[in-house]
Amino acid sequence: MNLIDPDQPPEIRMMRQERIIAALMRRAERQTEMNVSAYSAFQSAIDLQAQVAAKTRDLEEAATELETARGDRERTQRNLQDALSVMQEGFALFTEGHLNVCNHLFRTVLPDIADEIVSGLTLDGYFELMVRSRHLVSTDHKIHHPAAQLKKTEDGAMAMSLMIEVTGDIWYQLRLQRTSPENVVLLLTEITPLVRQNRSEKKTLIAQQADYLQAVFETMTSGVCTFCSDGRLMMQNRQFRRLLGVPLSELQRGTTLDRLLAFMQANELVRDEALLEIAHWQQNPAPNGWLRRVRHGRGRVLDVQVNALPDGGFLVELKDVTLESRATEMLENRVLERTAELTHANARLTEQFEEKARVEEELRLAKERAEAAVSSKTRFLAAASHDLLQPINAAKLLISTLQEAAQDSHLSPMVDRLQRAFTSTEQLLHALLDISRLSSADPDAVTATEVDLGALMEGVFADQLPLSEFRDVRLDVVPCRCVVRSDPVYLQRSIQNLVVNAIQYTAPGGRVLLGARRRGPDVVVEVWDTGIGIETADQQRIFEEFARAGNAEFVTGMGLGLSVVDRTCRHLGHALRLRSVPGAGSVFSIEMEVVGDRPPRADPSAGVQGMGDTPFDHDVLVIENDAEVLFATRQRLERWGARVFGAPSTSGARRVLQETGVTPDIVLADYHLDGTDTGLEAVAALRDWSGNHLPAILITADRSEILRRMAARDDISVISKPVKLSRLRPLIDWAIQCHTGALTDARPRSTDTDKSRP
Amino acid sequence: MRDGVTGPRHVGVAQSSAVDAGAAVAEVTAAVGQADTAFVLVFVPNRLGVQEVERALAARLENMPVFGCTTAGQITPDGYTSDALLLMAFPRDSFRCAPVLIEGLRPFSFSGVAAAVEEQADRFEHTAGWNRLALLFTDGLSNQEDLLVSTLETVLPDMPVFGGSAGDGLDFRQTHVLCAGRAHTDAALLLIVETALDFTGFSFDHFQPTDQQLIITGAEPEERLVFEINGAPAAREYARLVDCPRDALSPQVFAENPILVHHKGSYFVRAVSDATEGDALSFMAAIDDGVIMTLGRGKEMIETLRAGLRHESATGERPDFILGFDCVLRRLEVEQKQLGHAVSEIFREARVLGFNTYGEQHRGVHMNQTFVGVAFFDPDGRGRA
Repeated sequence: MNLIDPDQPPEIRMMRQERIIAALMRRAERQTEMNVSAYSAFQSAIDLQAQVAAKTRDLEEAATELETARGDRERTQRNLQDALSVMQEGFALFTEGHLNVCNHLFRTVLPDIADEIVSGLTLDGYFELMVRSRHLVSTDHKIHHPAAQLKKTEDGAMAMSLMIEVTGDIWYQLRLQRTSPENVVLLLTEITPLVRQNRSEKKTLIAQQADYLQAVFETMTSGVCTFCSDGRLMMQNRQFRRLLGVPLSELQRGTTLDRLLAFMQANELVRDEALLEIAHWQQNPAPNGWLRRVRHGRGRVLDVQVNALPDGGFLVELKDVTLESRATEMLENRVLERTAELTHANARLTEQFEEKARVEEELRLAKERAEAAVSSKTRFLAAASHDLLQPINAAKLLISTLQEAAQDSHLSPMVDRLQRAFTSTEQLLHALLDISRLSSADPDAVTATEVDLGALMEGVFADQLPLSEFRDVRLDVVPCRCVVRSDPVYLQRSIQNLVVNAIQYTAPGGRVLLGARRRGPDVVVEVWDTGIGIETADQQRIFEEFARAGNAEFVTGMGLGLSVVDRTCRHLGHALRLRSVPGAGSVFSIEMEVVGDRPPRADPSAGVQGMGDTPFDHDVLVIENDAEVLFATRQRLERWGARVFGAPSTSGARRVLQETGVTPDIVLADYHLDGTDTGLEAVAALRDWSGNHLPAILITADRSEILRRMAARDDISVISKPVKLSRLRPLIDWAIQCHTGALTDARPRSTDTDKSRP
Repeated sequence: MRDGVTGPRHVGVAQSSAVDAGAAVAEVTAAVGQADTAFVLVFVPNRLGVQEVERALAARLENMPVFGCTTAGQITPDGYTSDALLLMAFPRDSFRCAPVLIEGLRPFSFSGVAAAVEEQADRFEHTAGWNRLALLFTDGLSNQEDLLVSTLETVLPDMPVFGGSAGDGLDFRQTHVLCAGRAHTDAALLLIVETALDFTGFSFDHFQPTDQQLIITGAEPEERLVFEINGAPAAREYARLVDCPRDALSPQVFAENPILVHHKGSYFVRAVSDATEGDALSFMAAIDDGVIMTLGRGKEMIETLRAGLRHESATGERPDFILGFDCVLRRLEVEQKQLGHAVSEIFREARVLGFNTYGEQHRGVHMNQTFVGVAFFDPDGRGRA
């Protein structure tokens, strides 16, 4: 605030102050004067303006309030108008039980009581008036003590609502409503148009429904006809007439069912009495209706369904099931035919089955017979062979003795021939026995065990060496150490047969080689010869019984050898092969499985054989029930230098030992003694009696494994009949030496022995 | 009309920058369909001789009521223009008018004015549904606006009066008002207008008070002359207070440093028009000896203007056009601050038409350095003064 220029000297400033004060004073004085100067006009104008502005503000506020008030009033008016529109109904307000206001309409609804409806009328009083009025035609329910009912009603709720009819088909709805604790409103709303419209709609609806029903009836695919409770016809449709074949004239409304049935009977339209039952049905209606399938007079089949109708009448419905029924019949026939066919087929099957069973039974019997026949043949052959072998055994022993006795005499060649003839007979018998055994279905015909192939081959070689020397054929064997899985007896026989064949079919000066070679897990035993060979055409045939190659001229034997080989290999699963060049030689081979290798050891036979020249100074007990064999054996053994004691049985042997007081060095016992007596029992008894574990050799034609095992269990060696002398002597020497402990390890294996089965 | 801004529908506008008065009048009158027009307002730039314009108008618009005044500049559809002759044609279907010419303002006769105005207002028949307002055009050098407008406010209490003082550029020598085609000096024209349009009147300024006060210690109120402020010669003291050399005082300085009168919470501008050789200040509004005044300071102009012109009808529509009375000192300040283009653009967008005054009248008060406007709306809206 620098009103006065501070740069001015004080006197000037003082002067200016005085002037300011003077001006303010002048202005202050002028304020009180009345004048119309421009500035005062301005001043008053802005004063006025401020006032006007304030007024304007007030005015605007007032206007706004007014506006609001007007809006409220308009709303109220509108509400009032709404109320007025409500008042187009009859309206009455009862305050504290007495009529407060009502409108004109309310008063004039019932004109005869209009004058009595005055302010102060009670609610119950009004209703009494109303009930009394001549113009009141009806109410839909009774009015009693509306005021009492009101008391139970809450505010705003409808206390009562009823419909009243006034003369001239005029209708009102009367509603009684409590609007506040004091106020009750009674409203009369005219509903005449509603009632009338409702009524007319109902009528129209009924008419429409009748038409509709008729139309539905006509278009239904089944024949339908209704009867009223007294049996008169009401409605029917086209399909009904068509199905029934009754003219329209007979189906007029009012026609009775009896008449209709009578007409049908008269016109032969009823082929089925069932249709007539309809008449009785009505007297005894079932709740679920009545359904029959009937044949109509015109060949139709109809399903007739009768159902009760609510008004006591009934409805008859016809369905044409002619086609359906025909189809059903056809189907039924077809089913019958099919059933008959099936029954027939079943009978045939049963017959066939029975036939088959019979055939099977026959077959079974035939098989049993065949088996019995085979079995008896085998038994016969076995028995025959065994019985034949006994005398041959004896004969061979005798011939052997005879050969030595006739040596260098003129009888010698003849005895040799005799010896060969018996050898052939023996071989033939063995072959026959083998074939008969291999032919039988007995699974025990062969028994596969571990076999020392090398030893077996050596045995064959040793046995056939004399033959080869006789035939001037060089026979060689290649040592082998394989252990194979096979039947020791038949394998030995097979290899022997091949070697014998080879020697026989090889010209003097030729060669036969027996050897074995490994092929993978198997070993092949081969027999080579430089013989005449076999034509390709004969290569298959030679394995058959009694077959012989075309170029085999002078050969001994019956041709059973290869057959035995073939059968043996088939039984054991060994592969038998033949390679041959006619004129150059043949190779027979047998291939079998290898199960291991035998450790190299000293050959027992070789050790035994090496002692051929040693003295045979033994006490030998021979137990043999066959006197001839006993004699032949005694001859042979005594020739070798032994002292022989003979006995036919266990008891006989014991008696001999008792009488002589000798303990034999060895016991030779036949297995089959008289009765139940056996060589095994004899050995056991003698060992018991002597208290000495006597060495023993069992001589038998029985080649069974069981026997062999039983003998081995008792530490008894076994040698087959007919006894090969070349093998008997070393075996005796070895057995005695074993007993005395001289050669405990050199006991020949059972495979080294020649065994036979009975 | 200019591109981008559609013109008003309820008033015809024409302007001419022709040098010759006859040619300018010919140009603006050619654009007016006389048959449809109730009356025209003509705003005459200082460069044109008012007598030439008067004659040309008489020739061109023979039976047309022509009103208007000389000005200190025009607001045309292009914004501020100093030199253009502006013509506004008010159509019959929306406007009627009744003029009152008040001659011989000095000395001012309160009763004479009141009688003339009352009589005319009574005689002017009221059209149902139309609104009334009054437009006042006064000799800008008469110094009688304060009395005149205050009188009118009293005589016509229900009619809003909007007015502008005629100018003569920045010459402050002689101004004229046009009534019925004739130019008058020492006179005022009150044009009572009835319109089918809705309208809203408004005024605004762009000043706020500072804490610098001053006291008029010597004045001649009749002449709006102040000799002494704060006991010192007025011009020198004013120059000291606005921190400006005495010799540099100019209308621009006056425009930027207005003197305000405080009255009951409101400030009113008392604009200075000139500094005399005797170091007196001549004012453009009423002053008095012993009055305490306040020095004012300008506010930001553009946003103030934009906000001041922002008016909408009751139905949310923008004005069809705004008749504007804009103080010449505002325009000087605008030009001083090189805002002429921006302000013109705002005027154009707001469809402001009018002129630069030597003073503005609104609500019975004569003011300086304000903008007084009347916004006209399509009749759907509701106008209120």
